[in-house]
Amino acid sequence: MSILANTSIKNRLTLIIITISAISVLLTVISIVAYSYYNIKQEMIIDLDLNAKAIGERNSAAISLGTDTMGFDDTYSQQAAKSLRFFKTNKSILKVCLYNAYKDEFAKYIADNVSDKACPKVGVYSVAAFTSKTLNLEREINYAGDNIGYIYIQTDKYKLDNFIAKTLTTAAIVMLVALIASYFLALYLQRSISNPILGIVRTADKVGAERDYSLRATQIYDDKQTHNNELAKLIKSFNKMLSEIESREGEMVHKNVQLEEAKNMAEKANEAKTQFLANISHELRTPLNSIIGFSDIICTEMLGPIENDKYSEYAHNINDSGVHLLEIINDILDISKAESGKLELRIGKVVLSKALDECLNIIERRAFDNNIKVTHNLPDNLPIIFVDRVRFKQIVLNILSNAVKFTEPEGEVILDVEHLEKDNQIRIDITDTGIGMSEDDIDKAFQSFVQIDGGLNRRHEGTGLGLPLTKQLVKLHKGRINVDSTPNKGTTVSVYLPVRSDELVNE
Amino acid sequence: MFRLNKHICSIFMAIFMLFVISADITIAGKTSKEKYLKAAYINNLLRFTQWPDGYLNGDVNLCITGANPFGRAMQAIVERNKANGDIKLIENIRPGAVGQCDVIYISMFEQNDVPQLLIEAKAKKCLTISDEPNFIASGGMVEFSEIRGKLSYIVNVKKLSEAGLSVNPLLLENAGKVIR
Repeated sequence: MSILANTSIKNRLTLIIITISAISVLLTVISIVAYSYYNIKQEMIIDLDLNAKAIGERNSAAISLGTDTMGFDDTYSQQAAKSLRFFKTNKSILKVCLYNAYKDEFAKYIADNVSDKACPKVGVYSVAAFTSKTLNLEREINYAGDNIGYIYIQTDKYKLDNFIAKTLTTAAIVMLVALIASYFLALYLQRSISNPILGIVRTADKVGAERDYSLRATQIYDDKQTHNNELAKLIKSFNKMLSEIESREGEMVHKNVQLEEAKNMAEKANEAKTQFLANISHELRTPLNSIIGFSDIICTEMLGPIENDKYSEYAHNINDSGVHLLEIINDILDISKAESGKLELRIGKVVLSKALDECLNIIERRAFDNNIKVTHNLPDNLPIIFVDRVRFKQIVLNILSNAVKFTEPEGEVILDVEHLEKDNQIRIDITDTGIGMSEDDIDKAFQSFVQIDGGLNRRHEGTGLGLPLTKQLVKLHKGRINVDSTPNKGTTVSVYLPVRSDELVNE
Repeated sequence: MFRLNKHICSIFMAIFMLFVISADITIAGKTSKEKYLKAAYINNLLRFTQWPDGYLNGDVNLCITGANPFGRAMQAIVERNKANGDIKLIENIRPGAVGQCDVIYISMFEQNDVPQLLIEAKAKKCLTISDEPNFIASGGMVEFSEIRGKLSYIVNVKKLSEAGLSVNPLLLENAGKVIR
């Protein structure tokens, strides 16, 4: 069947019809030839048997007389032999042998062209027997119930051989004519099946090439006629499918246009939002820097002592609030830049252990104030990594800050770092024994301006920008972040960063 | 002289005796062959002769006038021939006893009885055979006779037909002469 794999349906159908026709004709011819062959053999045997019987009867008196006068008078065997010479005119008779009742040879005729001039012994051919070249038959000669003698007769197989030759020639001609006729008939008949299918194939090819779903396969039957065959149904279904696709494509194009418009609008809105946030941040930072700067001068009593402690306390509050507000504005600015793709990294060599130490120094003070224990596990052989130093520290500090923020006093924050040499990555795990989060809360924690619940919001101040910004920064470093948390037990945030990303280094 | 003549006489006598003995041996051989051939012909005549339907019932009675001249040759051949049933050999048939015969062989030594025997045989549809030289002329059916130096048989088909008998033409083909 693999031979037919790339053959067209037209040729397949033609081949199938021809094959079936050929097999049918062949089987018919074989049956007829076999039947005729059997019949002609039987006919030859019957003919020869009748001949033998007639010859035997014709010579029965001579044999009988010859048998009884044996030894005294051989006239009768000579007469019998003389009568057998009649077969000289019959070229197909090769041997005729007459035997008396005692199975002794009585008379014979052997054709001149037969080299073996001997008669076989009686009983060698008990029935008619074909050899490669002859038909041999032996029978008794009886007269009125008495066994007078025996006759053996041998003929050539010319009739049979001639029949085989003629039959095979005829069969070959019949086969050839039948094959030619079936070929042309197959060519004509296969159209009723192949043409509709080929029409569908051509239409499908054209639709595929031109993306034109308005095309239709040609219906092979007159529309006025009602045809309920499979091919008519197939064409109808195919055309219906094309109509369906055409209709859906129209709808899809329309929806795509709408989606494109909506997307453009959303992008414009987002850009406007980003621009707005950047502008606002910039506008806010300018006066905020003045507030922080002047409040810092007051706090440090740069221009002289403050006599009333309340003023000093208020000045500290103004300064702290200003710094906090500046951090928020910076975060908003960063996340806006990150979302709009305008945040650029300054990749350089960073000694990982040193950068982490700096982060720990910053966070440990805050943790100490909240009575939270900070421990770390920094291996000695930590590699130098290629990251934006400031943004890297921002990532680590954000996560550490969150850990400290959401951990109750007497809790613990653990920093664990490992170099995954196989993947050439570093893994930074920050684990706390804090309030933890549910699965749903983890998803929310990565969304901008979202804090998990009102309760938390009130207890833990923050804008909800920490984790989203951290995620953006990790992403920019071609890394990934993973949060594993259990409510009331704690959270582990894992950051995976490449030691060296060629993509980042080459930018 | 008398002695010499006596010796010559003895020699002639011996030669004469030798001639007589050899002639006797030749005649005896010829007689044996004739007997055998006649028995064979009788056997084949029996085999190839057809009696009217229902005429023969069971055995065929083969009658011989006088003693059986064929000896064991006839007996051996007859035993093989079953075409018309078992053959029963009846010897020493005399005129007046032909009624029991289906075939009668009339020896040349009973030539005086031939006319009477033929009359009785015709009435009985009996096949008549003889080695008497004028048997056919006398109205017999089959006569053994030497034709061209060979013992053969002459068949009078007309007489056979008159008696309602027929002989297979194949046997007639081998006859020395056929009279129709």
